[in-house]
Amino acid sequence: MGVTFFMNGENLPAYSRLPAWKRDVSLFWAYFKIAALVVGGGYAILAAARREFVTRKEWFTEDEIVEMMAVTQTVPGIIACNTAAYIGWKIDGFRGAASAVLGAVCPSFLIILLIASGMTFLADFFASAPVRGAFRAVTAAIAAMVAVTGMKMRKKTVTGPEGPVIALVCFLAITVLRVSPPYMIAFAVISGIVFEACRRVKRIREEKP
Amino acid sequence: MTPLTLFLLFVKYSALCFGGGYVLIPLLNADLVGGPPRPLSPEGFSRIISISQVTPGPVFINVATFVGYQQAGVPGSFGATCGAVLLSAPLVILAVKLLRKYESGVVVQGFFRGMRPASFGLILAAAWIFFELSVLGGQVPWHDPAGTAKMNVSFAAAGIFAAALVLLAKTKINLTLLLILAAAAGAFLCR
Repeated sequence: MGVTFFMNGENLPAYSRLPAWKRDVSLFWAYFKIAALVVGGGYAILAAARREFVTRKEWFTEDEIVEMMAVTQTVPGIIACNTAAYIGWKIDGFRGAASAVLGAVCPSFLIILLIASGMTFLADFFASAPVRGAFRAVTAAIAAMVAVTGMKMRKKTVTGPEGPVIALVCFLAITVLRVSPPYMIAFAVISGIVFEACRRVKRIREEKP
Repeated sequence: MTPLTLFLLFVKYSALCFGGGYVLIPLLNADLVGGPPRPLSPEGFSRIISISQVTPGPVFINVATFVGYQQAGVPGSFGATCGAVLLSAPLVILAVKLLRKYESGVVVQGFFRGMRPASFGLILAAAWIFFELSVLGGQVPWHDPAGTAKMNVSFAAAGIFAAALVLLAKTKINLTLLLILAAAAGAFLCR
């Protein structure tokens, strides 16, 4: 149940054959495309990144994505940029992190800058009926993508006797009770530590009859 | 506000922002919105939020760029956006290093024990929210706590959802291609 932190020596990941600058360009471009097309922010971008880097490029393992999800949601900040930083850093250190974050930021920065600097026709364009329809359809496709991502990660994430309970409580609290996510993250971290502490205390008791 | 003030302000917001960009909206609302001397009017702020939500990319970046531009032009938007992303990489890298260092400790093991199943619950909850927003035509839950906003179901969006579900689960379809196809279909079909 430990989380693998280090790359396996014999099984070097696909990107290690690429020179550093190609990795950086590839990271920037992958994130630029994702951020330019995906509406809905953090979780959508996270799922898109998993699809790009695990399913298609095979640069990351599912274990690393599970670690990434746990870390990037807990650290404060923009989830999209946190996942970009994690993925970029694993692939090419600080330069990789900077390339991926830059890619995630550029499209929205440019679009909003154009709208704010007086190109209001762009705002009208995004508010027009066909573009709203297009966004609605893109959001539906993103709902499917996020659901598929979640289901593919079920075996790696929902483990132990308390796993299904924590997962179900988080899901229902957000969808039915409409609790804001940070409270559920705090709940999960605290209950995980409590369960782990109980397990260790129990094991120590069993060892000393 | 000067670009430097905006930069520092958004560094602060990103440090306070747990669990994604939507948390930013109440923070900004409490700090910047209201009558003078606060810089943003309620109408101006709601315009910024609605434009940020219909343009692609992270909502937090959209809001930072917009508020920055309104306050101090291009340098302002640059300062605000840089402030918003500054802490991401250092904090994530620090967190991963700490987790590695105390890998077998009770806090780290407990953290993963709680956060792994929670990630599953949270990501499926996000999928449900996107489904509500698109197919059912609802609102983001924390903008509509009572859940009273009128829904407007789109069968075209439901069809696109089902098609995307099959394609994503069964094939390695290029995501960019899928989203462009969905957008093209939606422009004609989803109203």
